[in-house]
Amino acid sequence: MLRNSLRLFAGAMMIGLTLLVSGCDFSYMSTMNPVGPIGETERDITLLTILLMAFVFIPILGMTIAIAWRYRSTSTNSKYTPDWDHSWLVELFAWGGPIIILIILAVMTWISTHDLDPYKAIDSDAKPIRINAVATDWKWLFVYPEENVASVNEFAFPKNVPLEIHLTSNSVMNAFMIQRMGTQIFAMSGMRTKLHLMSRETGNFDGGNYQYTGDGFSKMRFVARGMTKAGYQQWLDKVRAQGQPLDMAKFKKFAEPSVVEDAVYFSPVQDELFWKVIDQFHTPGKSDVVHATSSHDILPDSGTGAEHGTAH
Amino acid sequence: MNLLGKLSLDAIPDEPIILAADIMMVLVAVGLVAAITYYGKWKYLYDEWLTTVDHKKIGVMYIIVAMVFLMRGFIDALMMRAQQAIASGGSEGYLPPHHFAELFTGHGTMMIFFMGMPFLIGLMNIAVPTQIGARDVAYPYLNAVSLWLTVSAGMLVMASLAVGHFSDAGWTGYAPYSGIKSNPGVGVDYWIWALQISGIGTTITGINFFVTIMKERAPGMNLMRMPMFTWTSLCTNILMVLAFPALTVVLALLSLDRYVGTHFFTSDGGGNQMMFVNMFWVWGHPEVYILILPAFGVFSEVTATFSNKRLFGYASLVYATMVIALLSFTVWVHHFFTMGQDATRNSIFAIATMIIGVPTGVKIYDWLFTMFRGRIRFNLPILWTLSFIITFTIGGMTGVMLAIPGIDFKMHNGLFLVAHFHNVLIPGMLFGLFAGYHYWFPKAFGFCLDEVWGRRAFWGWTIGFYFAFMPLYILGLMGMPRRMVTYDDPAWQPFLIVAAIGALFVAFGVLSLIIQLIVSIRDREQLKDVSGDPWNGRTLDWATASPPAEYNFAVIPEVQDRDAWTDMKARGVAYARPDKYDDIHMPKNTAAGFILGALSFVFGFALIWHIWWLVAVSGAAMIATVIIRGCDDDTWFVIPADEVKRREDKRFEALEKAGVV
Amino acid sequence: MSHGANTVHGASRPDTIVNFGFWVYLMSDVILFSMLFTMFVVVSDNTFGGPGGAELFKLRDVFFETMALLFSSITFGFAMLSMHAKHKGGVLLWLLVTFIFGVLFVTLELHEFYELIHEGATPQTSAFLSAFFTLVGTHGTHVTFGLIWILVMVGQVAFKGVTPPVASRLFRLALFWHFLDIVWIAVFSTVYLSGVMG
Repeated sequence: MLRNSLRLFAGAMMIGLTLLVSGCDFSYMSTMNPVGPIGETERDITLLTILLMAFVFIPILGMTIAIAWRYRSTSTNSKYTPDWDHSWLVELFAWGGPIIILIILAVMTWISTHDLDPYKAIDSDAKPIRINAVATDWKWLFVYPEENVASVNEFAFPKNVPLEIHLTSNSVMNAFMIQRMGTQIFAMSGMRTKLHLMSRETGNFDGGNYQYTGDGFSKMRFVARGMTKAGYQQWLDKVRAQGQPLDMAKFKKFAEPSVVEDAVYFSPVQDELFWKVIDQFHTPGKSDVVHATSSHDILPDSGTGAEHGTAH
Repeated sequence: MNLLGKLSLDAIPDEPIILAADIMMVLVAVGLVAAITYYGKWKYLYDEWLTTVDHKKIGVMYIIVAMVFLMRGFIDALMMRAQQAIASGGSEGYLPPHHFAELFTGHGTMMIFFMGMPFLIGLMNIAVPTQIGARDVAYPYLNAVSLWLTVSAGMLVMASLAVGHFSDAGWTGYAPYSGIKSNPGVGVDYWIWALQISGIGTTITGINFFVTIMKERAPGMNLMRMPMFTWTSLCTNILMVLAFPALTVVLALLSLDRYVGTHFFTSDGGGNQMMFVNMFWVWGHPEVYILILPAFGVFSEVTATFSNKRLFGYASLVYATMVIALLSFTVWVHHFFTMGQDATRNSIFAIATMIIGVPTGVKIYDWLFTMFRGRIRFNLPILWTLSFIITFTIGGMTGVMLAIPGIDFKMHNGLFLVAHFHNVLIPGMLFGLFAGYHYWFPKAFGFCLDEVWGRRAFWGWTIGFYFAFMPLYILGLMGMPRRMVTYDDPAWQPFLIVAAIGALFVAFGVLSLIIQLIVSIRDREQLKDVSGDPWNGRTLDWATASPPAEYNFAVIPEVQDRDAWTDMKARGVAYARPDKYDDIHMPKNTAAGFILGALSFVFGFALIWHIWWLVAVSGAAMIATVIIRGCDDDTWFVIPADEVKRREDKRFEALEKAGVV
Repeated sequence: MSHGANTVHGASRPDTIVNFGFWVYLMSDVILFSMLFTMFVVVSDNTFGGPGGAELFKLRDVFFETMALLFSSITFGFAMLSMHAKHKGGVLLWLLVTFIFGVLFVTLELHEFYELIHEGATPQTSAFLSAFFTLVGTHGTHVTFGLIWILVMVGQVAFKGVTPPVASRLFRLALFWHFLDIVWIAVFSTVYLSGVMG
């Protein structure tokens, strides 16, 4: 009920917004030019909020200029009430106006935040693809556990298929984002975070690390390649053909601080490499339960957890 | 055993830019020492400044510290803008990544801890005791301790330029990047000890001014008659006392990780890096309001004074300030919506964040309605205020946007965020501090600041701000992360060039501030203020002489109205000669504060370089200083009534000559 | 309402104002300890394969520690009673007794630390032990500074007698000392009791 009325309200606002921004060109702003459902919702709430905020900003701008001009000391014909310091009407307006806007925003926030929960699977008929992202200093390793391949700095996927991305870091805190697909999430050592994304389009989209990690940080970018189903299969074949085998020993060597400019492929990839990276930071052979500040299971059940099962 | 710890000749940097800066720094220091010696001012310096416990002088010294670090922080900003304007599409620019990282870390650290904090504490020192009709703060000696701890922490930051290097972990120093494994150098240790030492100074300031405001008000001044700046200072001090211990703890735990090998924020050993982020922002978010609330107080004073009108919605403003202070402890999670919390948790903190928008909005309306039906004189302080209202509202809007997790998911760690917090802190804090600087300068020195150069500074900052930060919003929407030393996307470059041009406008503003000060000192006779009340002020600070006598008020005034001074002027009791004077008890000067500051510098430096014997010696010396001072029963002296009368007669004579009375 | 602080008074700030500020300082210390408690509780299960509280803590020893500190609070109370009675010798006697109990407490704590480290349970072993040593050690450091303060006050009482400024300082030392007692109760229940039971 609440949700529907909000949608209705949002719809009306969107019409106003369309009129307002029809002249504007967002195509060069990657975060405002989404290719998938997550990014689209995020763009919409961004525009909606800008519009709502305009209702606040424009009156304040107008009032400031008008009042400052009208009541300048050199203008002697404007009214002067040196002792007037209180008015219930103004107070009502000053507190009431922001509160009304707050309520609208709060409802919108509650709904959109739950909609956009990065841990929530995306509704789709297609079977999701699992990709494990490992941040190292200063490159991204993307492991495709169902295919037993991995690539560096190249994030390939078929369009219209939901992606279930699991992330961790081999060193410090990193942040993963593909601007046109939406939603950034941290990758942290010894922990697993999750992100669900999907693209409706093919193409090359910029992605990168957003959390400062040292000298090579600025070069820790990657390209996300949205492909057709056939194109994705060809890409997998290419990776298998060109890839070097990757096990934990080799990973450790690869993970040493360095910058990689071009894509690198690995095949086959050792089973459960992602979990082995995480387990480096935990007691060997012992389940190490760490209290998280989060109620999400961002920490792994090291050993025989159910999540291990879904990895292959 | 190595007597110098980790210190060796290798600690002197070999990068030409840094080396040039070092040489500059040494030359300035040598020049200062030479000048003081040449003019024979060492005794004056020691008697009147280094050992003073007078809140007005301490305030002045705080603001000098702030101005020095404003210059340094701004040079860092200019260098970063220059680097990003050229380092596109394969160009490496002129800065190596590590130096660039030290610049953004240093810029943030200095602007917050050594520019913003000393500036606002300096204004509080100058204005609060006189606004409440007090002769001094509650603890004059501790006030000096706070100052010298802040100075010594600032000197540590300065030292990092010449000996070793500064942190590259960003001003937030997130673990585990700031841990010993990824960051074995001394940079993070410089950052830790600079913050730790100044943080302790700030906690003491918070206690000091909280007690001063609660206990030292003139008779008749109940809480709801306090000037607005005193109110916002009170809230800021409460936040300092309650928030800064969190910073102390998070830094202490990080240093244990680094020095002892504990596992608080490490990746392994069961450490929890997310706790660093949480604990840092438990302090960090209230800190934002510590910085901004005093400026809100300045705007309130300035708006009422220059509109020649009572402050509109005083009670609303008081409650709004209290609500903001309270809520500032309930929103810290919004600094990391992207850390994987569940949606409900994110939503709750998001909505709490937006609630802060309500009292802030109320304040804006109250300032506008203070001007409404007033008689606005467009002196410089009100210009800063007008620029603040418009610019800050934009920052508030983008703040509401970032408060929504769905938007923050895209904007976090990007330039949109950088643009946002500059857009609240520059107008919200800095413009307020500049307004307060111009407003209270005649109170501190007895002459006004030059308005012409002030206006030039104003336009440089205001225009420069829009050019420097509006492009950053667009770059954020284009997906550019913060803290990039180089980038490949050529589409970003034009915006970064515009931002660099904006920084040049700001440079003009900064330069104008320096010229304004020089010109004003040169023309001090023309700019002289004899009345003590150059702006037709409304609060008790304007009832004193400019500069006030060391005892501020020869006779403590009785307060009958919120605008106590306006009320006294209306009743015709302003400038009234008292029937008789009493002896006045004042705190004696002491070198203990300065000594503690100097020792804490040595202590911090020794810790940074692992010179353990020096840590022990300086630590023990600090404890000894505290004990010796603590045993001293003779810390007050008396100014006899005759002497007070003599000084006051002289003041009234001048007032009569100037035609004020 | 404001006090008469601005009117002419004796050679220093009135006690009420100084004591009020000391209370505010104690409040900031409460925040400091609560952050450490939070850290401890968050990582209290992160033993990283090392020993946990149930294996390490010997409640009997901790009981003696607790008693030493509690008794020192009582004896400080006697010192304050003597102070109000202007009984210099009594103040000195009870301060020294308090000091001895305080030293006993610190010694027992150091002994516990020594044993733990000897058994291989060091601050570097795990996040749990890092937090344990830091939280308990921070309290111990406070007590140590309290002991130095007691010695300083013994000197002042001995040489100056129970003058108003000395009495004023003794009052704040008493606040500090009782405050540390209260913090210890929290340490005892959060760290040791739940450690042994959990």
